[in-house]
Amino acid sequence: MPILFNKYTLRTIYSLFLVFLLSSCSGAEADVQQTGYPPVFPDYTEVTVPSAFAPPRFRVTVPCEKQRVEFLAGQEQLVVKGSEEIRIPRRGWHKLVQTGTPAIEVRVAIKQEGRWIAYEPFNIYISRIPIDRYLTYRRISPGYSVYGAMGIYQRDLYTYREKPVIENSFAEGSCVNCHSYAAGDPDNMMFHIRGKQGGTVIIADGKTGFADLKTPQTLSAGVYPYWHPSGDYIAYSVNVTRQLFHSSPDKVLDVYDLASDLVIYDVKNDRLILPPQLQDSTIFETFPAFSADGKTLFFCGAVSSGEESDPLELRYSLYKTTFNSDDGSVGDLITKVLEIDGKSIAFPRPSPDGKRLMFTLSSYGTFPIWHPEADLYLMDLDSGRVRNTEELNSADTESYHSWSSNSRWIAFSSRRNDGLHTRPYITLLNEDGTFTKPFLLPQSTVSYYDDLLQSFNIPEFSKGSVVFSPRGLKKHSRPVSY
Amino acid sequence: MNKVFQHLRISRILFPAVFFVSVTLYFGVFHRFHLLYTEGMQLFLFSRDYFLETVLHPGGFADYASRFLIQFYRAPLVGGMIIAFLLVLLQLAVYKTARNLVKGKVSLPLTFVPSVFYWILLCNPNYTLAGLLAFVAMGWIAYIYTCIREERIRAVWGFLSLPLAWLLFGGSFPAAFLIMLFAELRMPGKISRYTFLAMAGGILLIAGLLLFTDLQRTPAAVFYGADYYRFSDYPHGVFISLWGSLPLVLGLLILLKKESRIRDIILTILITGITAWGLMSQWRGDKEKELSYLFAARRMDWHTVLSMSQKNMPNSLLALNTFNLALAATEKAGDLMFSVPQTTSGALILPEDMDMIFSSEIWFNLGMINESKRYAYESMMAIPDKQKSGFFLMRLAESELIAGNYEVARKYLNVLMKAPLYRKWAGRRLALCGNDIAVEEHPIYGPLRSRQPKNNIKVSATNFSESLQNILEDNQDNLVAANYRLMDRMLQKDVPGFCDMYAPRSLPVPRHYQEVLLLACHMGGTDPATLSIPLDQNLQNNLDRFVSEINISDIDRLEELFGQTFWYYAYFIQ
Repeated sequence: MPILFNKYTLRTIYSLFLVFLLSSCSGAEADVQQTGYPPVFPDYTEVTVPSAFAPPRFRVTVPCEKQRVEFLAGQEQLVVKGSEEIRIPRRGWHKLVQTGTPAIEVRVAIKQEGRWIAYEPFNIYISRIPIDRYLTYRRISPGYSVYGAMGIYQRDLYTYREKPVIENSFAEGSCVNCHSYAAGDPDNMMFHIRGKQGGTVIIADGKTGFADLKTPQTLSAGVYPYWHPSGDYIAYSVNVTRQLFHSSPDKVLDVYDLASDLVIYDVKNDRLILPPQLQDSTIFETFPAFSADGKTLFFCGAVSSGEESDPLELRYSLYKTTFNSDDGSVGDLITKVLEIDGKSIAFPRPSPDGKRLMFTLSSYGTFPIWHPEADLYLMDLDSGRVRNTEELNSADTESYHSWSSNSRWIAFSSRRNDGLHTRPYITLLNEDGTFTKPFLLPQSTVSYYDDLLQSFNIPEFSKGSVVFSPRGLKKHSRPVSY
Repeated sequence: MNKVFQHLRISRILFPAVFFVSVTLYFGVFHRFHLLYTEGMQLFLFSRDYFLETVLHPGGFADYASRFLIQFYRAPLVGGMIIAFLLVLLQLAVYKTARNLVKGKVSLPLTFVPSVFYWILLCNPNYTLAGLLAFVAMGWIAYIYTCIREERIRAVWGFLSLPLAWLLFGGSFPAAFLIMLFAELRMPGKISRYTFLAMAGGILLIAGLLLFTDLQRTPAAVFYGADYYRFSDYPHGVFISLWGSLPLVLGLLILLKKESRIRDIILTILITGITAWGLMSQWRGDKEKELSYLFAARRMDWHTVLSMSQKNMPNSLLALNTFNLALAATEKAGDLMFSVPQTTSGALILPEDMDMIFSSEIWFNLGMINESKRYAYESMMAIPDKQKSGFFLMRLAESELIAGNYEVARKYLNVLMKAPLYRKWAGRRLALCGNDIAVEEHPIYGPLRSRQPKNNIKVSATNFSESLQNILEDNQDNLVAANYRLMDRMLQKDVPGFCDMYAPRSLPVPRHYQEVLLLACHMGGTDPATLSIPLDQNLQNNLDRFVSEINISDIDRLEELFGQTFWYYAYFIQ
């Protein structure tokens, strides 16, 4: 008698029953064994996802009457069925992840014309390396000069929940852009508001401030930002920007600068510092980025040919100079770090651990999102070695990218799906310096991406949720000295 | 007595029936292009994401329901019937509410006042169907209140229905609230505190919800919730008047409770007169005509464009642009260009900051697909209520198909597949995706693909003359551009320039081209007979007559005789 009620016996009986049930289902239903992985969207075959993460819901992209997917991790099994999508339940997924196995095996079968077709199983690898909980991005239509609805949103990566930081519906005709965090800290972040009620929102130590960074001495208000790791400074580019619309079918548009410089904003003292070394009218300085230790300021620069500069000929190199965080001053010596012949560098992003620097490389110009040839490259800051991160790049645009706070995860923008709508992808940096296969940010429904005609801009990791309300913004105004 | 009773019954059916037919015809026939345009500026999708995105905010249900109904504006008569039906529903709610409150006969004509008010408002396309839907709902919510005799149940209804009304239909709830208040004062027996308290509770609940809802929208937008008005600067006075009209009408109905046939006849005439005056003052015939040109151009129905222009002159630069587009597309510029008044500026295309919608058609037919796509995209982004647009998405899908960007085309088309009335159109285009041969053999997309520029050339509406030159230098086989170039030279009165570039593609040479050539001969002192191109002797005689008449006849006489010639344009139009 005790044997019958022994928990191990019961568990064995239960497992055998499950195996019988599932194998009888799959055995009887799998009339055809298909070689190769199933065609799924998003492509989650052989990807590596963080352990604390929303389940990667997908669908099989070939027409079928039913889809049936088994997820196996150790002793745990989860079967999900659907006619259109595989909506993996969060609780079931987390049970699988909690088994601690390094990979979840996924077995996909579809029913077509009354027959079940089973595909080769694939793995979704589970990484225990933590990822910052939130991803912030702007959603905006990939348009021209008129913008419709847009907003900066923060997505909880552990769930599917997305909440707006700010939407441009709060002030008619406004544009919101260029959000940035100090080392992923939501209590130190900023973004711009253009148009009515325009200015820069700077949340410093959790307190909201609203500043106008335009001065008579600068070309514009602050544009591309980068926080100093201390949270005491923000480097900005200031730009005079134009658009160029192409008529030939293989291009759409270019955005270029007529002039650009760099400025430093002293957050604690509301002071704008205008280093003359970075206000050179013969050089277009842009895309500032502080090193992990805050002692170096990287930026991109292109030599101007004056008013005759052909935007299609401008190519940016990577420069650096020293930065003194005691007084916000910049070194006199500017060094060219990297120049790639016939190519243009954008978005230099040092990793928080100081070992690497990722950047975007395109044929020319300063706005790679409209360049299908734009790719991600990685530089080893110790050796100076540069490589094309081919495992991340596609035949279409890869552009903006950001590091997680532990320098292991990267979020980046890619137009690989259709060549126009930018989507956020995530990848893990392996110990050997290679990256895992990137995967598309999972959503609650796969159809979300089908109907969405907006792009995801500037995906940035953050460790916590931003607390901000657009109401009563003006009362947080802070005068800026320069 | 039976006759009076019978008369009343007939009126209760006849009046709404006449009203229904009038509204249907007004919108479905005389405003049909406005309805088509309204439908084109939205895209209702049968999808979970669209439902949640639309409904999950106060007033969202009104938006969702109205967008569902607006789909059917694609058949304008049906659209007219939808509007008519809602307006009659509103009248019925007022009538039935009045029946519950008036201790006597209800004067039927007065019950039409709120419906007439909204009918006139809807002539302005900035007032949306969502607003009407919400207003109708408030009428019926209030009517239900007046039906409830039991005080406690009335209190519960008052407490619950107001916040529910706001959550579902948006900021029109004051209309229901005012009628409920009014009705409560008319209820038989002692005035009940509980019902007033309950209504106050409902209002407080709304106020509480308002404070915590959707901080990303302006307070006015949160209050109104639904899109009653296309722009964010709501005309508050109009809506307050609208809401106030309900209790006002009910008050009047109570005052006029004594039956009087003569009074009702006078009221009928008065309200009909005010309706007619209101409709005529809001009548946008010019815009309607312009839109008819737009839709004909979109269908590439050049025959309709040309025959409309021959019946009535193009009434605006946009209509003229479309007429000239039809001429360029059909090679009829030489025959018909000066059959309508042309202008020296803006006749072919308007600058970007003045128009992008009509101009998108011009660039599209010129083969400047990128430019056309940009105009369509920018126009869609400029839609005030931020909706996707079926009208523009169709153009974007076509543009990507022609350019060979099949993945993007597929994306747009798959979105359109979720809109039932676009599904067939989208399905046919989906079959072309990825199939270069099918696109190249398509009667419309094939020629447009071949007209696309081979190189990156400079084009703009502001420098249209230079743009045409660049287009032809890049691709001299672009016949539409070639026709435009000739038209442009004529409009610029550049006779030598015209003659340099003109080479007849067939004989006889079209009339206006002969006029230019003859004028060139006259100016240069050349005998037209020496030209290699045969010219009509009658036209030569006409030119001689024109030259002699210039000095002796007045402008009106000259216009009468020569107004439809190039010569008149060249000499007299500035």
